[in-house]
Amino acid sequence: MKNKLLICFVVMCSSLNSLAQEKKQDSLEIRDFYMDFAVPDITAFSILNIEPTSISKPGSIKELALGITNFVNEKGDLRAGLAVEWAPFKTFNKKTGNWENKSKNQTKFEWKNLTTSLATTNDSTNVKFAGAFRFSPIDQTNPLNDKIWVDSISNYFYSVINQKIIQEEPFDAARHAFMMSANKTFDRMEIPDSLREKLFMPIDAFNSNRLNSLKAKYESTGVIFDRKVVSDGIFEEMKALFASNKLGGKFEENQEEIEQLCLSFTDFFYYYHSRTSFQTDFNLHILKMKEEYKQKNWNKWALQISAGESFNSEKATLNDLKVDCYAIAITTGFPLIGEKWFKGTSFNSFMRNHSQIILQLKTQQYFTPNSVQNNSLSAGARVLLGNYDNRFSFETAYIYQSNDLTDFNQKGIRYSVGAEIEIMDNYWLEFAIGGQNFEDMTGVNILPTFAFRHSFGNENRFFKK
Amino acid sequence: MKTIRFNNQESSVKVTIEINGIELWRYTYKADKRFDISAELKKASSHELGIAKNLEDDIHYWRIFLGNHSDVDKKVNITITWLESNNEIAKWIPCEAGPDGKVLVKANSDIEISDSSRFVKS
Repeated sequence: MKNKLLICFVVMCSSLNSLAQEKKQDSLEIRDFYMDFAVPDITAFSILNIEPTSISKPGSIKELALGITNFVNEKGDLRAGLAVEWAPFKTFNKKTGNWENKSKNQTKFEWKNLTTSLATTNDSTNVKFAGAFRFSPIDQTNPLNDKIWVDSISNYFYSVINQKIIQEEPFDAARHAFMMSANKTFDRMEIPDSLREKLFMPIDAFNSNRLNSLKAKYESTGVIFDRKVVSDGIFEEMKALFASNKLGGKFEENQEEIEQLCLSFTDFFYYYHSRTSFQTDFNLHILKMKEEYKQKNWNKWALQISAGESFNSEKATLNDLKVDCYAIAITTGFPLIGEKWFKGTSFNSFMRNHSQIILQLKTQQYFTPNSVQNNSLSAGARVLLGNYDNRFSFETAYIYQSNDLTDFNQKGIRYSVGAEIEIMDNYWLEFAIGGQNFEDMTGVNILPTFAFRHSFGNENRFFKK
Repeated sequence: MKTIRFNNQESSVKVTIEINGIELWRYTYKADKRFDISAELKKASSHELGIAKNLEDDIHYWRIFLGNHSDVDKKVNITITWLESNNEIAKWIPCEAGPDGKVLVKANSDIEISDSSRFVKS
């Protein structure tokens, strides 16, 4: 998932409030009005609040088992330092499992987008263990789930490659003829296989280190290609290769023939250097096609679920683990009206293409409460009307927070109406008017609090990608 | 250039090209006018090259094109195996492969890999 840098400019109107409320308003920050609809990052690491320097990503069951057994022994003793992220789809054979449910040309449900994570950590006395999963079973905004789109990309790829192969046929033939004759020369010189492989490297491998270093060498000096200059460079490299293979004498004996070979190598080197014109524009094409697809299908159905649970053990054993906390988040988005509603009308067509509703449910509950971590539950809806990069937004969320230890208990509703514009790729400008209505701690219902706020940040509040 | 040594003049030689871990790929495998093999979208392809004595001093070369249309980098397994009477006589993995033996193809991009081999009687 791409991180979006959101330029958030929230404008809140102000109104009259009581002195007490003004005090409260002074302590408000942008986040008090902010409804984050980004899918929360619930992993075993985030739930334990750790950032492992390396996360093991096993590719097989054996690797997974080995990764875990290093931290949990047969007796059930736990050690800190486990950090594993495992996607079953990458382990099991893709051909044998039923990883996708397809309907016509669209992938409707994907088991392959399931990722699990496990982690252990410790503090002065306890070992903590957490497990979590992220699952995106439905994503109709993803062009890779659309067979027609994938087929069009495949056709493009093969047509470009086929064209390239035909275009370069004369060169292939010339290269082959040269390699045959060069080999005969090397045969006469009785050059061993290992050295021969190195000598041929510049014309064998398009992306070889030697070819790239040759390119870099001449590009950096700004030398205009001169056949003799390049050839002399290759000659010196060959000399060094012969010497490093203890064949310096052989090089001296066959110097004239090697000079001729170097000139031929140079001709191929020239070709490779100018070969950029033959490179495909696959990269540009695919990004353009993805952008077009995203603009057309930005509001299609998608569902993401993530959940995690952490445990605490005072004795550092599996048997002693006690639930510490759990977190769940479910987010889904789809067009505001169904396919069959007002079918055939321009209203249906407009709303199917220009509206989206995002629903999100999030909760985090602590079983061993402390004074700074509140239990929380929020249920929100976000309605968008417009285009992929230019739309109006309507948001509301019910929020409930509590803490048994501090007797803190708060519930209320936040809401806002605004507009958002993508000013450049992944950069958004947002205007909104909003407010909130919360009960205070004594249960007295206060008037909605309004404020004037603005902020710049890197929040990712948009659903998906 | 990889040197492939065969043992028996009369035995048959074939090549198996395997590409795993990516959806879009295409290869061409050539030698003189005799072989002009290409394949796409198959898990592994096996091709008869002929009787060993006819391959002596042959130079074969191949080009492999890989396209990654996904949003994540992909690691691709590429192996070419030559078999003489169904016994492996040589195996090739690209010099572009990392320590895990796999070639990295970045998201939304394509790469081309090329190499050659020479057949010699051992």
